[in-house]
Amino acid sequence: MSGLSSVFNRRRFLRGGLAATAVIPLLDAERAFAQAAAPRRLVIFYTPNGTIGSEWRPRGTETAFTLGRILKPLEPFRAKLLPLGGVNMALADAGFGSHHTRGVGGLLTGRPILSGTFQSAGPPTAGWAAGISIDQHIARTLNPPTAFKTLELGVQVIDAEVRGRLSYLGASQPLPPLESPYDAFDRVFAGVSPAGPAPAPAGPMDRLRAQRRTVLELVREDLAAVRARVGASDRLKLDAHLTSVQDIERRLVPPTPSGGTMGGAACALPAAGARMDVRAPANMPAIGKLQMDIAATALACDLSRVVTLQWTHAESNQSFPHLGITGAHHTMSHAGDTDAAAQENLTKINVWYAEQLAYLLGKLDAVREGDRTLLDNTVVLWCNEVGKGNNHAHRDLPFLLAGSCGGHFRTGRFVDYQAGGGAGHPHNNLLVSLAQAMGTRDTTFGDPAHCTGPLPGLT
Amino acid sequence: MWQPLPRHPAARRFAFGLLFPLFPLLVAGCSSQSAPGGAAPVTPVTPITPISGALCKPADPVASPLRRLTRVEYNNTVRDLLGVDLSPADRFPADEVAGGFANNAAVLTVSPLLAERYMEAAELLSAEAVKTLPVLLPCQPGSTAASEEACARQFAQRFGRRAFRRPVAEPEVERLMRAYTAGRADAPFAGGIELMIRTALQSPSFLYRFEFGGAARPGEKLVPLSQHELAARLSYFLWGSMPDDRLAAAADGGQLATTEQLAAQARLMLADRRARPAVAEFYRQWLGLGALDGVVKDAAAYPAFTEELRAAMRAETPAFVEHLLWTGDRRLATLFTAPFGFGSAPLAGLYGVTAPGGAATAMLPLPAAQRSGVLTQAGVLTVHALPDQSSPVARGKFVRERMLCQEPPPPPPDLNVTPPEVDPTKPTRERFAAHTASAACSVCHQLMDPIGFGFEGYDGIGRFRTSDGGKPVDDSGWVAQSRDIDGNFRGARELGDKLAASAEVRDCVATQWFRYAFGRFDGAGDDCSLAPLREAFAASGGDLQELLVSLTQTQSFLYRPALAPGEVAP
Repeated sequence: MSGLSSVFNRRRFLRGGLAATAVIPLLDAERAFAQAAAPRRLVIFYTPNGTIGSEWRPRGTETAFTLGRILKPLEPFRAKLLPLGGVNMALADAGFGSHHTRGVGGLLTGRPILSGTFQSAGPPTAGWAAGISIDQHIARTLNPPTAFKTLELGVQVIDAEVRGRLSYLGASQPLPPLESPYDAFDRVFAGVSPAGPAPAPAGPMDRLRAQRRTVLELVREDLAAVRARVGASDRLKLDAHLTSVQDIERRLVPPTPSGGTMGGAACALPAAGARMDVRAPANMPAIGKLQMDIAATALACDLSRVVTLQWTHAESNQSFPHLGITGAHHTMSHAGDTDAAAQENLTKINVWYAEQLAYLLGKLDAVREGDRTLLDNTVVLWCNEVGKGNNHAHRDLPFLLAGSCGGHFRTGRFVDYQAGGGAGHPHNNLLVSLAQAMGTRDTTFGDPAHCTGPLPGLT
Repeated sequence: MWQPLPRHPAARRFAFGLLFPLFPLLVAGCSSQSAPGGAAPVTPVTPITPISGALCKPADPVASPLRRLTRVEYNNTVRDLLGVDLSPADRFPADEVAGGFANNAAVLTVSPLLAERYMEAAELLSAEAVKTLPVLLPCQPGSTAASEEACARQFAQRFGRRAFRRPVAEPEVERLMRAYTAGRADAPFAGGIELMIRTALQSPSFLYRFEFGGAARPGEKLVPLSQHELAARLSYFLWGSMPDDRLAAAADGGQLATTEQLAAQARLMLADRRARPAVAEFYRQWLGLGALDGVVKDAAAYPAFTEELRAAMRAETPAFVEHLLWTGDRRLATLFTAPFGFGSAPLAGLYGVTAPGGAATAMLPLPAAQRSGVLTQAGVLTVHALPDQSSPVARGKFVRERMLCQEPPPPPPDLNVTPPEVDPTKPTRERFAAHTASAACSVCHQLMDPIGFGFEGYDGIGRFRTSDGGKPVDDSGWVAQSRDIDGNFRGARELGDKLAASAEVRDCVATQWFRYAFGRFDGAGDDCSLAPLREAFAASGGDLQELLVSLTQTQSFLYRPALAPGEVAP
């Protein structure tokens, strides 16, 4: 293998990432799921700074609609799409920080964010989100037998405060996304060989695994000893640390006799060209593609069933040199409706994001699982922390589902809860629908004041 | 002259001055450019409270959250602990940022990803360290199992002492010995030591800086820190790393017991080379230069912005800070006014001077009418600018936030804030004039743009210019809503003079250092530390080294808040 795989050389197998000693039964999903019911998967696909509603919103009726400019790149998957109208996030209308911080903090948690000390986003200043995010909740509830309960991947996120975090293990416990596809590859696929069993000799791997278990057990004891001596807020911090350690320990299991092989083409490791600067805006398309390749492979190989892909961050001032747009995204998103040049650039940015989503959907749809495809067994949520950049509305957010999640959702429809003058529904209900699609029994999620059950008419 | 503070600053009583009165929204300087009868009055900024008089009112102490090592601190610490220079933290996820600093304890946690990185780093470092095992060991392991174990135990005590920055407790030694036993089971002696190092490097006592302090007296709200905790505070504050053997010995011997002893230690440490990059790191973050690595410039507008130039900009500020604080006059005023820079040919070219050659960071005498300390450094002007033009907004906001400690609110909804397109026939200033001409915009922009206009003599990469958009540059500006520098000025040079003379700026710099030093925001309970700190900084004539010594004399440095009764788990 060349490219990404070659980065991951033999030396690193022997002193490798966690996955090197966490060899898990890899499935050739294409073969395995032909017989058994395939698992359901969730992908969160996040892009920031709102959209241009007139170009995003499908026109027509529930079943007879045309896609506007922004969703046009998704036309090949039309029968598998479920764009939504009239889903609102009122919980982000007021509170701490900016519309963007409240939006991104509430997006997957369904709760108003906490107050805090992020002065860049106030006054009144914002803190972290106030609860577990839906992706983590689903993984925790279902506890799938995968190597990674969840994967958080990012593309040029850079911002390391509330604006740059989507997933949370709990209140004030943000999960940073992996921004380097090289690190992501290393973390996810170490110990996996396209040629067969893990390439490192079993002996050294077994030994390293045993050592890691010993060390982490001691670390847990150390954590317990200091925990008893600190105050309540510091204890939360140590508890989060303990959870992180336990997450590693859980993956330190020896390979099962049947495991450690990869067969089908769908589960082949991705490859890439030479290592590049992961933060240079000009490299954004290439980095994004690598992250999507890794996400698709992790899903196809059943290494994880819950994946988050985060493009930049809320309020991001990313430039898009590959689109000829040198202006800053967030600043541009404030432009008034009459600023035609800015509106055109914002449309172009969102069209480009739709093209990226189309690429990911295409990869998932190319993997056969029985009489379905991986995309059919997945639900992808495209989401944004605000609806419209220049008024920061949290009304009628541009939510789009793709994939039926194993037949749970009736796709190929445009469901508009505002049609006929409807008031719409809180976005927490959408989060409940996602949880139910994945197989939990949730009837509410996040702040109960903002949740009335699953969205109607989706299944 | 700087004066040592009393042994127990808590005993001093300070009272707040009157709250700073809210300034009229539109000041005379710009009212002519503001539309009449426009926006409702708002409170755009909250200036830091000046604490006048010699008394402060004690309030409940501000919580001092558990501090995790930052990436910079981790790299420095493992270098000093193990003598290996691998910088493994470069692969850790970025430290979360709050208030412009990447060391705010409230937001630094250990995610699963980071825990995994800790594990990998510990494995890498321990393997590297045992390659020079004899250097690490305090003893000869001998050839019997018993002699090996005795030596391993000595190592556990000695190494644990250094890694945890305090004497280790017996249960901790036992845990390290269990690691030794596991590692020794199927490998030579070095394998046992290796696993011990691996364990210590993942222990919370290494990764966090615990401050348990002494026993709180009933009813006391403050707990004095232990000698070893004070040593770690000193070393991470002034070196960004662990205490060295000398400082650790001082803590062992109870030699950090008085403010005089702490001041003497601080001065010794500031004289050590390790202080220079650590202090420069504050200035890098304070001036927003973290953005320099990722800043994008339009190649057509700025063909001179090469990687070489970017590197030269990155290197200039630390060289400048090092010169000012260790060779120069150490004055805050000089920070804002110095007519010299540091760099090699590409940067000298940008400044329009000839590089003396030699070192990449040679001192460059600059045209005094054009350059004014950090304000006009190319890196600072480059990060506070747009890709294809300067930015009066970004530069004004920078001065308002970082030098005046005031936070302008974010733009209100539904405004067109797209920066005006570059127009070769119009100066930047004219294109940005809409901000101050519209009442809705001017409410906030009058806080930023008029200061930023003073930087119009510099383009988007900090090159001096006399014409823009086909017209002579108008670099007249004004400051409003400040405590003591309101009024007109011309160019960054005169702005530098204003900042250099301002008590508000001086107080703000002390506050910024306070936040950085303690890894948290200041609160009302810090007034009995901030007041004497600002007074001492003023009394020293703005001595930037003595400011750091003064920080070690504050109540906030010496104590932590007592835990509420019953807060500690049984």
